[in-house]
Amino acid sequence: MSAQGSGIEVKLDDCQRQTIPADQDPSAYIVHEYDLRDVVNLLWMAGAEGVAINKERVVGVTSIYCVGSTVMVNETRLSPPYVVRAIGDPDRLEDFVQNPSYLAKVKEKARRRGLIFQFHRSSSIKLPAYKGSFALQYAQPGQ
Amino acid sequence: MSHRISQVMLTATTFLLGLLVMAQFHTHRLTSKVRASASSADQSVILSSLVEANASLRAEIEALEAQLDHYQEAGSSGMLETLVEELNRIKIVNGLVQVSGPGIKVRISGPLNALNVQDLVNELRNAGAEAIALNGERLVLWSAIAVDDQGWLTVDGVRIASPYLFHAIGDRETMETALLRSGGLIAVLEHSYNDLQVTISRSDKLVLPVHRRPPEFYYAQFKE
Repeated sequence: MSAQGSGIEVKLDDCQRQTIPADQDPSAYIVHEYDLRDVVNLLWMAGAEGVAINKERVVGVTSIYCVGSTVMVNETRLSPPYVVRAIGDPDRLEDFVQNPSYLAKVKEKARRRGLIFQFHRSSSIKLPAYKGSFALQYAQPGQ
Repeated sequence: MSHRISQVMLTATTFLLGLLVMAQFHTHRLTSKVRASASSADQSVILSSLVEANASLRAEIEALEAQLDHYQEAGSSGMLETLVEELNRIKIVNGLVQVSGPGIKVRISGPLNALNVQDLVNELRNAGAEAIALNGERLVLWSAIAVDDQGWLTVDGVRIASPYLFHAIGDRETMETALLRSGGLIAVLEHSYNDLQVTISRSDKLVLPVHRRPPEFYYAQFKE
């Protein structure tokens, strides 16, 4: 089901600099799948009631995986900028995202390498419905 | 009255069917787009997962078509059974019931951090895990793995420590191979930590507990 409510929007994008110093590792200047996982994990911790990355709703069977230069979420390839939207208490969500103890790697890359990391609260976050299926083959209820 | 219910169900099922057909169409388009870019190794990974997704969507379309026939023939009888089945699937995915099935046990002892544990959970989900528990805590969609202010790893606020014991229900071979393949996540972790000890064993039947905290909604409004 699609969902709507107050919440927060977090944007992550690769460094926009055209040239990277020769002695630096280019991969330190881009958004990685583990950065996205860290953001999603933090938003759940902050009490998010629903989360989506770009147009893909995050569900129980979702995995966020790096494939070549893009990130695959629910069998769909996404490329930057990545916009993570979460519905929940905007104050609490913002507190967690701002807190220097969380997302340390992302924030350090933003500070030192020009990675784009922005967030803003919103009174109307819209999350799309999950488009995949929940077919289970192995798990059964009960013992 | 029952005629009315079956009409509603028919509409809902037809709608679902439409969504699935769209999803499959989208998958097809994606496949052709994918071919244009990415290295051949990536392509094979993407293609195999798309083929799998395609097959399972096709199976689901067939199942829904069968359901549709069933409703048309039998009116509302049998509907309850189908609804209960659907409800059970949703309960399993969201950790609302105890769940059992074949799977693997992964025991890792070593100084893992929160990101490592998140990666392991993601890797298991990616390999098709249908239900996961970590040190006895059932993991669900909204589970958070973090470090508390005293440096303890926590799962949904509950402190856990090494050895980390994952129980995952799903295809045993796929999950085991995904973790152990060369250059895979276990290999990467073993490279980062010298003293890491990993054992993986298969089990015919794992039983995973209910998640402690059911979902609550104060802010979200839902639409069909």
